[in-house]
Amino acid sequence: MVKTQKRAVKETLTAFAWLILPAGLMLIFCLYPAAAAILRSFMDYAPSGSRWIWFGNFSALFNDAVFRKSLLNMLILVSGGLLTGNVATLFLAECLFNMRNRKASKAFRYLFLIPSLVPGMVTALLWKNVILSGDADGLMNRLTGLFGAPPNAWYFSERLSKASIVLTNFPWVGGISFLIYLAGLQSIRESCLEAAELDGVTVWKRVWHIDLPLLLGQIKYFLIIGIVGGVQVFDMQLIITDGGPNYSTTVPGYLLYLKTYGYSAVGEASAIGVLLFAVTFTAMTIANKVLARAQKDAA
Amino acid sequence: MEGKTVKRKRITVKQTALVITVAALCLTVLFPFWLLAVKSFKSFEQEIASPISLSFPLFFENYSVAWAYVKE
Repeated sequence: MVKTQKRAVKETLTAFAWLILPAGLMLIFCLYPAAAAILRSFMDYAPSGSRWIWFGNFSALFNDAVFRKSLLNMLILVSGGLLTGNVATLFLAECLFNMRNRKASKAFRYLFLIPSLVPGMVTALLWKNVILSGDADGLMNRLTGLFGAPPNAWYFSERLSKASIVLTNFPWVGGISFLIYLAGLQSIRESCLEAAELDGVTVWKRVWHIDLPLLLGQIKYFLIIGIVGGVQVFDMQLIITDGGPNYSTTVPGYLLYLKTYGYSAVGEASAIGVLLFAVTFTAMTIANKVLARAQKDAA
Repeated sequence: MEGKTVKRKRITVKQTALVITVAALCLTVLFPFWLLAVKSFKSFEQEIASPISLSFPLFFENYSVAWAYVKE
């Protein structure tokens, strides 16, 4: 009896000993930075000595007109990105799914994957310098010029800068996301589709009443990933627009980066980080709840 | 009998339209990457003269310059 107990204790101890390493790494590299960011958002942080100012950073942020503008910009860019990306990829997935010619469908699947082999930096520079270039020689300027429109500065005009960022990567289908929708469509039961066909349901009705409700899981995934990624991303701002012109493309993520590495205002940057975390968490929870209810209704 | 052939014809038309739509989408997606590849073989003068199509003789110096940067 005592012997088995001793062995059990020893085994538990060994297990905990093995767990120390991953748990310690988690603590140091995952939890510590997040906790430090939350603490620093309430501090006037300086490496030589910080002091508590509680909500000072947050009130400074909300008194900052640039930050308020950047929140609105983020809202527009994230909703634009979610809408264009999801509608376009769903459309492509439906097209490929309904294609009778299997060989053509397969070939297209390969071709649409090619863009994901090119680094994102290259694509961004290509759009900046060639397609949406501000020159009169830019591809889009020539195209609109055919209809008599004067050349635009695109990324560098205050009026069009946000639209240009959303327009980048038009028609928004290159990459792997359409494959996830396609897989979702292929997992719909054959009998379901056959029954619809026998009842003479038109394609549009089938898409609305059968495909979309059964794809809600995939839509949920893309919505949540899209919100989390969209709130954090500032690559276009960093590579192309510098947040300009007149702060029309500045987003909180870019301000966070600037405040940390440009102005060493770590406290304010941490406050932005905490706010973004709160925004993402709220948006994610709402999206999750709404879609879960829709899924329940569809079932 | 006749109704069936009409229906089949309609399906073929629809399928053709579908393939054309997807092909157009595919071309739009791939066009920037075609530009990327083609422009990598152009000198500055060739770029001015014909920005979109391949121009001969191919200009490989871009690659040697890039390779020099990589080696540094």
